[in-house]
Amino acid sequence: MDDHLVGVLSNIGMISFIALSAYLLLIVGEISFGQQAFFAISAYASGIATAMWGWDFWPGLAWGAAVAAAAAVLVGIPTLRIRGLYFSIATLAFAEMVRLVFEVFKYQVEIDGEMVGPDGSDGFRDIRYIFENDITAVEYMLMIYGLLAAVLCAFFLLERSRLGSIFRMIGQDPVLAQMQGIDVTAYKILALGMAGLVAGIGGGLYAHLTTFVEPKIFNVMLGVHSLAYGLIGGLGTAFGPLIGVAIDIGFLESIRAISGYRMIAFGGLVAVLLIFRPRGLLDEAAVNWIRLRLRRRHA
Amino acid sequence: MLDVERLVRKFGAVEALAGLDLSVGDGESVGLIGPNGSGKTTLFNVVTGVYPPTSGNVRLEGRDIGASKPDRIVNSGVARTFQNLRIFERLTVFENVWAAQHRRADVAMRELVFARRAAEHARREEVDGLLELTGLANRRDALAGGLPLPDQRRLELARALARRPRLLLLDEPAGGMTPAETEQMVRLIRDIAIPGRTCIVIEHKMEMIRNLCDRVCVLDFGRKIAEGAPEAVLRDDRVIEAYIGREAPADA
Repeated sequence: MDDHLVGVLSNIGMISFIALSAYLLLIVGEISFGQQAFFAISAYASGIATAMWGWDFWPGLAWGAAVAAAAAVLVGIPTLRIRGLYFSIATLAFAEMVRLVFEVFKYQVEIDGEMVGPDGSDGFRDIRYIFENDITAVEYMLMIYGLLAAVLCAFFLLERSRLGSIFRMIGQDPVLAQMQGIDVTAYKILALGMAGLVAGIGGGLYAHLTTFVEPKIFNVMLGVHSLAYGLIGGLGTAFGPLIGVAIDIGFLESIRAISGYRMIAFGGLVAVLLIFRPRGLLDEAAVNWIRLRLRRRHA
Repeated sequence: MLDVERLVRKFGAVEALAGLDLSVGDGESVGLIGPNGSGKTTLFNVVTGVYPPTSGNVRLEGRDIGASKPDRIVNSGVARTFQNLRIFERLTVFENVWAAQHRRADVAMRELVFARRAAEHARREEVDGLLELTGLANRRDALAGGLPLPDQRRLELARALARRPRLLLLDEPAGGMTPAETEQMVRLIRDIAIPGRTCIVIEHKMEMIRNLCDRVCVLDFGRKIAEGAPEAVLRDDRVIEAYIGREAPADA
């Protein structure tokens, strides 16, 4: 398989996690500009676990994602008391704070005569687990997609469950949701924790693919893109954000002839869709239509 | 069932409720009437915890609920509909009613994610039964936002009933309906909403109040100005005055 293609597909897979994370919060009616913070926290935490503490990859990844989820819940408890725009600003501020903390965060140990670990703004080098264990790029890509498939299955189960509809109810009318007996703040914190976990899985995968993370890549543009993916692809199904990622990373960023115009095309696409399909290509109406079609065919 | 004592709710300097007393017994159905702005909907909002009371007491089955959160209050057996129609527009008609079951006492926490087949099947049948009764079965899988107004009102009723409330608050359940639709709504409320539970109905259509309620309470400026059997109250001078005003005295 062509190296460039493997790289692009791996990127699509990884970014899909943070897109799904932002999507989950859009479903509960909150716009977060800060999901890159949980991506970053897990990239560092899982990298520290495998490269410095000698953990295996899977426990390291699980640890990174768990730390990200815990951080998300901790952030959620104070910030979800504020609503709408103020929540968005608070997430943005938190994410920038996390990035700036990593700019000064130094924690290094000596391994085989070399210093390994986060070194402030110079970043965190040599997260070499997949190379030391002879995992090829194709194998790693398959691992990414295996995990993505598992997370997607979880999303589809969620969408069919009562919990999933509680999230959608809160997103559509929190007062009415309350009148159905739902503790809105508690479920929003749950959603934020789950979103942190999903972003964290992506962050851990990212750190081990690139072997090198530096604070500046976790800037606000990553958060803005992950929000836009759901808004482009649609908020009616978890496939929506994946379509957004595929359009942006798979098409605009990866085809050399047009990558120079990526931001122009991407921004234009967002603007056009916000006017004509404010809830994305696969919005709730489209998803319901498809669902009814499928059911009728089976019946 | 519901006891309201000296209830005050202020919005800035405006007293939407100015010392209201109201007592509703078990199984009673009470009509709440009064001019616009007399505090009827505010009372529903305070009873369901959407607005905390400024002062005074609200007791539900003897327990004080004045400071409780809305979800706690409604989970102890209260359901309501909204005058200005609130539905989950991007959920289907079926899902709107199904949603009302999520936090019902007979649905365990784990069933929010892992449904138990038999129990879930029975609950879904219950939803379909309610849709059948309210005449919405043929719109079952449509997104609720696309329904015409009378259907949305019936959907609200079905959703409120799906919570199996002991106290049901109906806020202008026939608002904006034609006479024929109103008559159908009256039959629905009389046949499936009122039996076996306590009901409070806000309504401007007196014919509806006469048909549905044992007792009427008239509110004006956040206070109760009259109370009693519908026939008597609707002839009361103070009520007529509150609604249509009084001729100005000759010397004014």
